[in-house]
Amino acid sequence: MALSAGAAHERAEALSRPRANRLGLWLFFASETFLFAAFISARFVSSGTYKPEELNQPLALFLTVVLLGSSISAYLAETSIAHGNRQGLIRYLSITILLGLAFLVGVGFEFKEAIEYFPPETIYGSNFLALIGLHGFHVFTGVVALAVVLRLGTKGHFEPDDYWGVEGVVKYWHFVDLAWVVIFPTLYLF
Amino acid sequence: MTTKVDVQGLRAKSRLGIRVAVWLGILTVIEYFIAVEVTNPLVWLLPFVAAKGWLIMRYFMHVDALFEGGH
Repeated sequence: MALSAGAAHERAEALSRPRANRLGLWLFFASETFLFAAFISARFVSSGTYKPEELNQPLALFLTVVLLGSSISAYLAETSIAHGNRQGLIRYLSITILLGLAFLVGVGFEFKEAIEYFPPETIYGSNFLALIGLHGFHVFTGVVALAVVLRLGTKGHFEPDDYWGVEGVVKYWHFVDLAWVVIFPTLYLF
Repeated sequence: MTTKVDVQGLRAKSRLGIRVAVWLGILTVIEYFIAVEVTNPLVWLLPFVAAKGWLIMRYFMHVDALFEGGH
């Protein structure tokens, strides 16, 4: 079927827009990776693989499981809208937000313990708190972005052929999860 | 406007995502026990970090679709 010039232009733009957005988002991820890499390398340069005995490894494992759980629910939210299931989008975005909030509560608890056992005046303490704080801030901004997308979703935004808002925020959430996959062993396991 | 739900496609993609999440969970638990049991675990843990990173980028972030148009 032949398309009119206007419709063909619109179709070409609809196809290229997510590609351009995606590339921009990945460039942002690249710059964020350098930021996290700077903090992670500071930890190894200043204190090697030393880790204090007071580290709460079971809590960190629990937080990892919570964040991985939020990643699968974010994936299911994106998959749902991609296949036309708006209820699924709303349900799984809500679960992701709740798990993100649970992670933040756990990080707050971790902060309290950390300040008591290895305060920011110590080398390990400053690295630990800076890295956990940097990541926690990313989780917080991710939760805010997810909440905005959830609100738009409940108002009827996004369709199976137009859901860049969901894709973008879900990719950001996975990036935050990916950062934790490196931070978890860096601070708690090595 | 109502959109028709592609139930079969949704189920297949959801199953794939859950399988990946289960693998991520298994790798995390193994990683944790190696860290607890081995004295200097850095070298042992790096492959786990790489494998988990690859799973997230490949299946959740769809890095291979970076230059594809549309959704």
